[in-house]
Amino acid sequence: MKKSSSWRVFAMVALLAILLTACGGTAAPTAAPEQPAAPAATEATAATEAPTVAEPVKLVVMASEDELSQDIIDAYVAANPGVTIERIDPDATKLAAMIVAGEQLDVIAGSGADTSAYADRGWVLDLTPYFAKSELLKADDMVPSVEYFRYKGGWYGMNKDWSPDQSFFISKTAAAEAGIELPPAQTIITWAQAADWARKMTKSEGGRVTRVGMAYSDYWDGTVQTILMENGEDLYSEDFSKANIKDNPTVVAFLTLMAELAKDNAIFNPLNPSPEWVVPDLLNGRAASADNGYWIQGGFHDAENPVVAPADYVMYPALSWGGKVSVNPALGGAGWFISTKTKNADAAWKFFEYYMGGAPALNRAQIGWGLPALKSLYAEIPATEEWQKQFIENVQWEQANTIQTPRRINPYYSTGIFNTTWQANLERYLKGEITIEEAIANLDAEVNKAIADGIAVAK
Amino acid sequence: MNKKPLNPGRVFERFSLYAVIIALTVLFILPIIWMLISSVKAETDFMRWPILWFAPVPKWSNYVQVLTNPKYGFIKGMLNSTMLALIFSIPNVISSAIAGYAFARMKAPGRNGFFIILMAMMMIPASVTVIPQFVLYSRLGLINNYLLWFLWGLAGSPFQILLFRQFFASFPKELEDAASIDGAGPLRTFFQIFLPNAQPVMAVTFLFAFSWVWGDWFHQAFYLSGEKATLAMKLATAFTDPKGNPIITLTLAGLVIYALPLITVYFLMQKQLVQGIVTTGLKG
Amino acid sequence: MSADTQTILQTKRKFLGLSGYGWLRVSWFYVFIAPWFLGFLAFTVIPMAVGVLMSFTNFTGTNFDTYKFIGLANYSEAFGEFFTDGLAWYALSRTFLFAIITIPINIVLSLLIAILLTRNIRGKGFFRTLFYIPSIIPVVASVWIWKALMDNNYGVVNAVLNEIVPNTYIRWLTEYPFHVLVMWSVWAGVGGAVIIFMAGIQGVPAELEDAARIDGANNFQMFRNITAPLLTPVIFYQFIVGIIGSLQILTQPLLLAPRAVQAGIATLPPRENYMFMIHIYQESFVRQRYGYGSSLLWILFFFILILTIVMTYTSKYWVYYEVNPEDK
Repeated sequence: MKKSSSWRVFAMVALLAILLTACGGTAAPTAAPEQPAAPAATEATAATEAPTVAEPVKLVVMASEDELSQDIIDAYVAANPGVTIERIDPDATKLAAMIVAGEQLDVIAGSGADTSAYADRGWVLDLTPYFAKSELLKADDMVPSVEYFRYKGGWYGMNKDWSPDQSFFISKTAAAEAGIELPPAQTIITWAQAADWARKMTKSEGGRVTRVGMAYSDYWDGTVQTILMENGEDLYSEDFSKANIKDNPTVVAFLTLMAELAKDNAIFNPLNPSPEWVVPDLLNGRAASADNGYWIQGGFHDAENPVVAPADYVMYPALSWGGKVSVNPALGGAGWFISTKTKNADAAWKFFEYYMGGAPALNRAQIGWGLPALKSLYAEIPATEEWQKQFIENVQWEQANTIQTPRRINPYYSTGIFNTTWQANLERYLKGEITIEEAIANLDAEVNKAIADGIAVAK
Repeated sequence: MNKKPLNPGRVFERFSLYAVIIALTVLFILPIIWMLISSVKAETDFMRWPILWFAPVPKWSNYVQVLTNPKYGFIKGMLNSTMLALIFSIPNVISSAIAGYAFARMKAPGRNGFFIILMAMMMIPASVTVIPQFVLYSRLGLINNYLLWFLWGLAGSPFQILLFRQFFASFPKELEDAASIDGAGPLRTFFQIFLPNAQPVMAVTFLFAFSWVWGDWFHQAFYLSGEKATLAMKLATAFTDPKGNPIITLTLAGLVIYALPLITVYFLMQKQLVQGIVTTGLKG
Repeated sequence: MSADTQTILQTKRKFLGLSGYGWLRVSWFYVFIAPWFLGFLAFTVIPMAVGVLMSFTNFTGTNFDTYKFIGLANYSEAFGEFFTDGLAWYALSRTFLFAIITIPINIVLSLLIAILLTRNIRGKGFFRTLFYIPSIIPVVASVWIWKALMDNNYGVVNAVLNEIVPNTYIRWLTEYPFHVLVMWSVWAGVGGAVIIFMAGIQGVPAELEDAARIDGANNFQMFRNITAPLLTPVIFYQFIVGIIGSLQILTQPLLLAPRAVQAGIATLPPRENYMFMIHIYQESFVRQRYGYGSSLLWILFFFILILTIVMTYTSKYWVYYEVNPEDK
């Protein structure tokens, strides 16, 4: 055996290991210098003029692939030479990690509900000066739900589309089968009525539920806030320090109604969850009605060989608790922010503007997964099929006749906690471990505790 | 071994023995067989009630779909998994080998103490460090970075070190003497005499390390994302069709491809693997 | 060896410090274990220390500048949950239940299978590998298989049950997820133990067996008096490994949770599968209470430690070591 053979092997292997790491890993971590917040004095370069070939710019965007497809990236890069865009999958923990580590992050896709949290932590840039100068994104052209992205006087982002999220869809055939006579379009239907219908339209066979009457959206805190808005009440106290759940009769009545529907398997619930999500549920006849938003249109639009045709569905305004008024704002607003860790705020803004007001926005409007955030794009909404026209009519009626003020977001805790806590307690109720009163009391306690924790940390 | 006379009682005993064993084995393997059968069904055949036991026509195109559909990025995921596994295993084997050798063949003050630490390390539940590790790594920019696995590999692992130690301890004592006569220092002694003879153990430890990364979901889901996503991560969420509906049969096909390499290698390397498992099991 | 070689060796030994603790020789030991030991410090010791410190604060993962030391408040909150029947203790009880059920089943079943396979049959290796396959399959794959098998609406198990007793419809994944978890755990865990037990059984010295046969012992007596006692170290090892592993169970309940599409580190499984580690992750990453989460981690560590020590201490009553296991 040659004397040096083992050394060579060792050296080669070590080299291989190092090379692999270099290929697979990012460069050795360097602490990124803190970027100052976009100085107000910087001119936002006119976004749509001839592309400037500046030094190479790299933008890191945290958005899902559905939201930011490779086509959009390619189109932008082609029109803006020198720019490269790296997309990373959204993840709350990774977001926190990147910001904390000072890694480059330019654009963050997120929900308007997160604005207060992000702004308080100093994660997102105040874009007011950019909006002021923008040609494409004008404040008076925007829909009300842009309000979700404003906080304490600052304006941190924009929604990429919106939808009145709680409109009610019901299948004509299922209703006919159950002997229900559907009211004319644009009638306000109450929750009690819809619950009754849901029970009638539920089908089961040999112990298995083959169709639930309603695919409830699981927007628990959203629904609660909107039905309270009918009377001008709110889930939270004025200063957001307390949530009124068990002491508010409307809230208790609503949660009880839904819990009982769950017990009767008239809605999907933790014991019998939906195998997919609302659009396939409706199209495959697994659910007879649903309270989701206009954005369902997008899912219907793409349907191939559905068991139940989109044309079978009628869209009504959002369900009302009291029966007189329907409240149906966008419940959040999927949109974009620009992070404070951006290396080039102007370049990030340019891309932001393109996505929000340029060709991608046009495209989104035409596909119809949501209504455009810019009123000027409303002409692009698809309206070829009869059912599409009916949907649009409903939306327009709702815009004129329902309350669409954005709901108040509590900055001290994440609304997801309301939903997961309620689902966990609902599960216990359905398994017979606790009563409804206990479930509601637990929810009240948990939510208020989370709020208190948030307040304590914020001090 | 005495040959017992063949009588009905004896035949029955052996028959029932085989019967029980085969029955148990079939029961154990049934889920896997079912996975194989279902992976060639069309999704509509699968999501049906009453159930369709066998696919009327096997849909081999499921496998093609899984491998070629750009939306799934299966091949990329496989390459990432492979690369990550290599990045971990190679340093892991080397580091464990040198540590195992040191424990087996070298004397030093405190060696016993270090050995106790090594044994204790096997008992420390890994999860007690997860949260602080996450915080530390995010401060160091090691999130979404394969370098993390390289460092983990470099740190060796107690089981692997133990394997090497048991192995090297069995070499004759005279080996070092022979080496020192030739004027070799400890490094050369190790690399030229001990290590080349340790190939079986190296193969086994390499396989253990590689299959840990290949099969690990949690650490990868926790620290990696996007372009760096590995196969385990991709398979944890079902493959979906363009509308976003999960397709279970495709996912099963993907899982078969995912599991196949490990199973093949284990079949091929049975003897050494059993040796390895037994060593840590009996002596650990 | 010739006398000359001897002398040369002795000189070299003295010079290079081959015997005793010459400084040159000694320092190489430290070099060789350095990667492992430094890794141990960096990846185990330091995080553990940081974890302890974190457990005394109200760190939320983002308030690096404003976190406060709050002393034992996290721990008292955790213990307080015991009296209010809070989630932490519920999760701990589920985890203990899981351990208490699966560890004995695993050990007994693997032992039985190992005994069967070490009878005089053909194809031992083949069967052994077949039992081992579920352990080799990556976790993601094997849990998926069970999730699809036991699916409420489309699973094979329900289909089979339906053939036998019409109109049975058991909602495994949502109403009996714990049973599914235990079954999976046994299925995937038995293989490795079978291999070890088989080796242990086959490792019984032939002289002992022959001596016993001469004395007229039948198979059962042989097992009870010779094989079993010799297997006790292995059983002990399986217990320890089982305790450490099952108390920390995390990925399998997450992957078994009934949502078809999303499986992430913050998924919430049904209540019966709400294990302690899952509770820790919920508290740390969803509720953003890293400090509290760290204190829960240390409580878990404490329990594991206590159990391991108790097991080890009581082992001397039932474990027979024929040779000193720490032979060097």
